[in-house]
Amino acid sequence: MYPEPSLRVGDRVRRSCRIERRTGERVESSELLWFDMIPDHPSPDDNDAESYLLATLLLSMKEGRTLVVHGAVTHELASNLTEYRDIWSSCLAHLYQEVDFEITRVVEGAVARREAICAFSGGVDSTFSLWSHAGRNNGYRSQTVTYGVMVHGLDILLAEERAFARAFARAAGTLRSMGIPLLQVRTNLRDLVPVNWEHLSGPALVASLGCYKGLAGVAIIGAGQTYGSFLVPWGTNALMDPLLTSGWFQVLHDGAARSRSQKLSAIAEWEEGFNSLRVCWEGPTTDRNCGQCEKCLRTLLNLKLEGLRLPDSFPEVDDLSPGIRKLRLTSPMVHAEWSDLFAAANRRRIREPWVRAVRLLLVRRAFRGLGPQMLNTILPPGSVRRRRAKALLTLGRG
Amino acid sequence: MLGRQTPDCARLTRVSPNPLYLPTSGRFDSCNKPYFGHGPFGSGWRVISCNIGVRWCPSMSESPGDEMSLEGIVRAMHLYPEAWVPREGHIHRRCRIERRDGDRVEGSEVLWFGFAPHDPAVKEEDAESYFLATIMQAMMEGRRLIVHGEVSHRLASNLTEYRDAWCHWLSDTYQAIEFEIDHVVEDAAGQPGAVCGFSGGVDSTFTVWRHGMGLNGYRNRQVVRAVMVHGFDIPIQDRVSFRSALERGTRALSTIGVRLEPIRTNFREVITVEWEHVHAAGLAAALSCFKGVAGSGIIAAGWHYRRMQPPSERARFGAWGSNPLTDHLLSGGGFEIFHDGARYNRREKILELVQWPEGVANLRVCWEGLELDRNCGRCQKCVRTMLAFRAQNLPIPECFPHGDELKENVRKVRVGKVWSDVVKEAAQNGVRDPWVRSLRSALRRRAIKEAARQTVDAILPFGSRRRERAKSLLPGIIRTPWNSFLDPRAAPGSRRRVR
Repeated sequence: MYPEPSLRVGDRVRRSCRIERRTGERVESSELLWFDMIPDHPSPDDNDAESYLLATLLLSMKEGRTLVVHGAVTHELASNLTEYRDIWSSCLAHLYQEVDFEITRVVEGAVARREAICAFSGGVDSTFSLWSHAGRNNGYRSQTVTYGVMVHGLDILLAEERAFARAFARAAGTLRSMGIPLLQVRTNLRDLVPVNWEHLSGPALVASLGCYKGLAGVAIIGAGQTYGSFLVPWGTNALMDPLLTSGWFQVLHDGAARSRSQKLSAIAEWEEGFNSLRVCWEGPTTDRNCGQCEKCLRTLLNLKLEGLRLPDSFPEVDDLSPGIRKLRLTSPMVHAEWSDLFAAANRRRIREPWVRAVRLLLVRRAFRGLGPQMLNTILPPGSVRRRRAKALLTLGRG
Repeated sequence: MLGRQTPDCARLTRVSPNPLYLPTSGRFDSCNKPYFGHGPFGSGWRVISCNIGVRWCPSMSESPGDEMSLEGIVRAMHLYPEAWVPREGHIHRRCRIERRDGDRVEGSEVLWFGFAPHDPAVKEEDAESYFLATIMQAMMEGRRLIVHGEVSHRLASNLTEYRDAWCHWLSDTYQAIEFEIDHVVEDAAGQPGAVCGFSGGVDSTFTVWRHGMGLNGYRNRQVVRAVMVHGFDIPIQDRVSFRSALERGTRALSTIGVRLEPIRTNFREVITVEWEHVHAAGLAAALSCFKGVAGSGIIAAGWHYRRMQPPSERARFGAWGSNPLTDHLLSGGGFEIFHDGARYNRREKILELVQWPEGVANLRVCWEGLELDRNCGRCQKCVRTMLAFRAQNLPIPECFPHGDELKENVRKVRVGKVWSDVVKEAAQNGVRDPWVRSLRSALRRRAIKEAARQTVDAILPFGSRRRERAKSLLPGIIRTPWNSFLDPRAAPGSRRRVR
């Protein structure tokens, strides 16, 4: 990776890095990874390669290439990413290899600024984080949030210009009510890094926010998973996000101790934030909520659970049960969220039809998981019986 | 709301039937827990001022309105760092812990850490060790923690999150208390080098070895001291066992040039929190006494990342004090805590430790045996470690007795799911010892139990009313003398019964 000098491109400042793939001396390919940021803000040094390292680590692990960084990286980030790499390579060894990285300039004794920026997408988690820190509700953990940052090119793709413009305008309006300006970053990261987005989301976000490390030394990332139900490894969670911290830029994974319902209750006090919630990424347009997808339905149930009114950004849905019946809980993390929702509904003795629909959804999934469990009991992994059964199956297929 | 400086009293007034909001953005959740929590205030109560953690008397909510008061209920734990005292060749860092109910002092005791006098000292008013040591105790007792000393901003911030994480996992055991710190100081730069907690077990021996040999790349730390704590797994009164364990550790570590330092503490006599929850905070408190010589403290991982994968392990995972999720939250300004080695499982650690014969020869993994300075060879941990050696076709180290009774001992201990790896490895390495068969049977029994549990989970999902009803019926079912239905001879009073 070769960091390039910053350029003025239109009304933005472009930070970029040339990614060169080599096999021995032969150059296989060369691509440019860029981040466009708003001008008139202090940008990091041209030689600072932390964002590029964060953005490409998983890619190099996927391709099994030694990562050679021809730029400056703080010792803290190098140390943390060593552990970060180990998590991926030990848990998903078939996808990610344990690559070495070489850094030409390791910076010792770096000092971060005290101000914080907060990643803001308009979703429940980021809205809650911004609200709680701005209100200094986190005691000694509270940060002084000076800016919100929305990234174009991550969950809203670069091609979706109009959708991003609408989402940005809405989010900027929301933050204006708190006197916090919203900045944006554009990046071609997802075009260049073909890694599972659910794995890449955390480092990609921190790499993008890192463009504003001249403004702030702390990045707040709203937790999507609680301490009680998180998946390892995953793009962003309370275990892995702190390992994206560098000497110049601390990553604060925020709000993992609060459930989604608790967060919604807190946001309800902030009229603009509540009415502008954008949780949907499966619907036809990514700047508004469809009211039908898993995340929309879950959020709607969280609202019902807390006895909160419907935010303006959600469509009116009379009966949620048909939508719930159509769902399939594929991810264990989402399953954990629905289990918590169901348990909370029962604790509060809610007797609405949706509670039954959720129960059926959970029972369906539990029975689906029983098959492999039974199989493992009868034919334990590694046993002679299992090997024989496999051989018989292969014979049958043959 | 949590962590906000709120008034010391709660005064509740019934005003209107409409939902209202607490002035501190909180909600009183009368259904689940009798504490003030987050969100809108569901019933017609108005809180003039409130204190987090004030218990609500359920009968009050049933009595008709007017004005009620909960004034003056302030439970606090005060920490007063004291002057150091030389004692028995050690320097004792001391802190007086005072429990108060309002203005009344309920009790006072002294927490101390004793260490060799030759190390550069931390300041007497530095209260970080005491803060770390007592936070879970205060959370368990539901007391506001008031620290009359210096704490770095980073530690105060991290422990706020640490508190929240534990309250999330075990909300019935720990409360989200508030902290008040007299002097929050700016984060200072730490010393180079690291101190590492060392018990002589597989995990800490592995960690010291890797760092000592510089095998961790950019993550590597130069270990300037290993620290063995007297007063944790070996009681403070048992000097003989500790001396013996210390000698064994010193013998091993001297071969890689790492100095082993003892530290004594009455931590476990003062802190009554379950050891499985509090051991990481206790170790961090002990290690941070060495911040004059090192800027990092290393806690060796007992977990490995692959074991954290299934979210079904969720709440249960958090109930173990030392874990990669919260250990780093014990870091203060100038003293960082690392959770190290979670990338490797026990087998991988042992495979690597084989390169260090002195380390292997002096392993001490046992905490269940009668003699605390050596391995019993019969408990679950001893058996698991011995099996890990045998599965690799390696001889069992001499520090483990009863190696020839593995087959019998496997039947006696409780096997975990991860033990299936041992069977796989034994098969891969062509090990055909008698214990392999015993272990396979034990694992099969375990798998059947697990399948039964999952079936119950499928039929009676977590949190469902059916599950609650089934649970409430269970004690009755268990108490019923089923034997008398099935076999009349076994009924109370029958001859068979008498015999």
